[in-house]
Amino acid sequence: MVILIVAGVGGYFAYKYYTTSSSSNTITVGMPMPLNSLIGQNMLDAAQLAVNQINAAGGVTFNGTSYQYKIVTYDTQEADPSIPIQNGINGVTSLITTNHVNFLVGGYRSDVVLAELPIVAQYKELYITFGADTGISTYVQQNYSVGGKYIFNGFLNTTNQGAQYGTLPIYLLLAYMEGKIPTNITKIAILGEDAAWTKADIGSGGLSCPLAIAFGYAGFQPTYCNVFPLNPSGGSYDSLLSTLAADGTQAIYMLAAGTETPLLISNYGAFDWSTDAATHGAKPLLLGADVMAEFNGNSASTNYYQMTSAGAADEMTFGWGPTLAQSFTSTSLPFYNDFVANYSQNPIFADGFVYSAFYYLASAIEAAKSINANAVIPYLEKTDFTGPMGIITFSSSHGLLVPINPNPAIPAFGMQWHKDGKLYPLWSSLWSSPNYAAVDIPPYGTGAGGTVSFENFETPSGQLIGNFTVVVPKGL
Amino acid sequence: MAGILAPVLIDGALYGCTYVLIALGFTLLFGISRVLNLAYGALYMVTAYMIYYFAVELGVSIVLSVLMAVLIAIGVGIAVFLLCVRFAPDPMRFLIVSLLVALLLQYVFEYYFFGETGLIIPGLIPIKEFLFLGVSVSPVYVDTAAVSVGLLIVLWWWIEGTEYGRTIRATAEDPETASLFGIRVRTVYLVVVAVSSALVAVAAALIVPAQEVYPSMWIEPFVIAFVVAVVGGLGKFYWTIPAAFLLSFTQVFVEYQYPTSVSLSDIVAFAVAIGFIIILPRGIGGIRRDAA
Repeated sequence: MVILIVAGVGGYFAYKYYTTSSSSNTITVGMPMPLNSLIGQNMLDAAQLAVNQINAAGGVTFNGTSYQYKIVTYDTQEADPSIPIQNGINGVTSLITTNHVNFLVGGYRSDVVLAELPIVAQYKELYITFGADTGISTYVQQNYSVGGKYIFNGFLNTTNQGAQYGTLPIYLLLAYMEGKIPTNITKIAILGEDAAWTKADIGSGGLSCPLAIAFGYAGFQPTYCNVFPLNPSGGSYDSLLSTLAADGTQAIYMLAAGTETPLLISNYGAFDWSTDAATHGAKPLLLGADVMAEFNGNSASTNYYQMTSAGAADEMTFGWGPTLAQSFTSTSLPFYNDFVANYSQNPIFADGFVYSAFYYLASAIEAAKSINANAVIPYLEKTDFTGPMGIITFSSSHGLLVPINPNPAIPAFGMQWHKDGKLYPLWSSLWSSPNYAAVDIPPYGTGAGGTVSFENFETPSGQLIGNFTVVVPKGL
Repeated sequence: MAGILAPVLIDGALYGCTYVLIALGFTLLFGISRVLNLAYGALYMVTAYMIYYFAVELGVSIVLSVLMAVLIAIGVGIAVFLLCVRFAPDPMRFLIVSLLVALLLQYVFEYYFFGETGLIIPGLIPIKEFLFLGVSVSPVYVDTAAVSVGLLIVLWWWIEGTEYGRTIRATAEDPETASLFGIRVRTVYLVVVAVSSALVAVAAALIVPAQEVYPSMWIEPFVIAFVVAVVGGLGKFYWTIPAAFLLSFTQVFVEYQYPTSVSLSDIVAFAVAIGFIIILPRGIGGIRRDAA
């Protein structure tokens, strides 16, 4: 009998300890994140930075009471595109039903996030998520009154991203045609990771894929378009690279947000491109969204250049700032400096969005004077927050509104690894004159024209060109 | 088709030598002890992760990292063998326990390294490729091929030309009679296990720097070793060589024909193995006996 009582009391306290979500002065935020990867660890660091700052400044205060943020995590492992979406579903379910969190902030891989949405809607749990698929906003729109309203997409979707990403290759082709750079990138291959967010660009592959058609309108000559395998047969991408070399590829446009790129880039750097007649033996220019390429840490396990055995030399990657010490808003540099000071590592593209989410969530809670999701939602919908990466405002379907005229509300940012092993700022969509809409996305042909500036450009053969300006003709 | 002929021939030959190195230890162990050790591929993974731990996380020199990793793999190999022999002495239970050990090791490394995939480790051989007959060739596979040939010659000499080699062959032929002649059978098995583990560990140390480290990476070398052993004939040590090349050329052809295919070459590997089990159950090395 005594044993039963002791077990019962102990069990009660254990239950309270492990499942307490909100003590009287705590707001618990559940974060389903790919914590088994550098990407997820970095995003958690950004979240923790925000939480530490907010808590140190008195926390979230309303009705005369201050609440401290507390983060509870669940490792979904979703940065690896081969991981099943069930991991994400398990994550949000566990955080909601076991940890009883007040809010959810997290998510990374779009197909995982999409799978999580019905669960979140069912439990009416407010969720700020960072997937890139337009399907997230579509879900909110179609299910707003039956749970969709609890979901906010705190990251740019693929349409918003493409409006800025899609122009960088065109600027570089113009730069070649104007004689500003010696690198001809006309023959372009398109590689994407096999994930939901690349479907809009890659489709089912082949030269009729959407991105190949768009590049064709812009004056490129696409040579290849397909997804690349996560774990290549034989452990090497040489068979794929041989195909690209035989095709005379001059540039490779890559879309990869997972952890699989170090091997691909390592192979790309090691490959002998002598059979590529179009580049006269030089490796093709590599550009695109490669999240892992943003890691500029001090050790072999956190520095992409070292991870790829120098294969990343001259690779260009673009994301959202501030990944380097660049100023996009008044809070960019303070955030960057605080992040580096705390974690000895630069922030990556998603970090500004994660960091901002805790701030504008806090503002919405304070304005609502409540942690009840139904009370918070109307204030969250009115968010107008300036974060380190740009301005956060939401559309009616809870996606980010990213106007690009006269200048993008959330500017894209490009970087390039040089042969010296360092990561340099290359381009920002703010570096246009007189305003951003220097070029429209083909085939519209309604671009206003203007100039776009670049810095620190290095050719694939290691020639440092430095700074140059591209003239973008009107009507492109 | 003409465009992929040169890369298929060159890479097929290089991969074939690599497969010989990977499969040698597996076949040697089965040939001597008549046990199928399904934890064999896990030693490949152990070596890779240990190199990552020493060289990348601790900053130890690559030579020392490789040496320590190989020694650890040998130790793990011996420990696994002793565990299986002690608690699962019959072949079927040995098979099951060794597979479970491989899975256990996978989850241990997944736990310790947070399940991270795509880890790259430094190597002893530069990875910068060079052109040979119009094909970009990796020095990793060239050097691995050379090491494979060298080790094959050393092993052949050890088994055929030395006193201890005679002891090993006697034990393989009839362990009970060998024991009656004073041969310490258990010691012979342990020596063979150590050599077998060392072979797969050396293969990992040479090859993995050109690939990547991830928790389930043990499956591919296991598949290679198993398929080569089946195609060559289980226990038929020297028939490993033609079997390895048959497999490598088939897989490389598929890889170049379908460069973005996922797992197609592994599908081919298993199909080849199944085909041989059905048509030639004793493998290439048993053709004469089957014909008789």
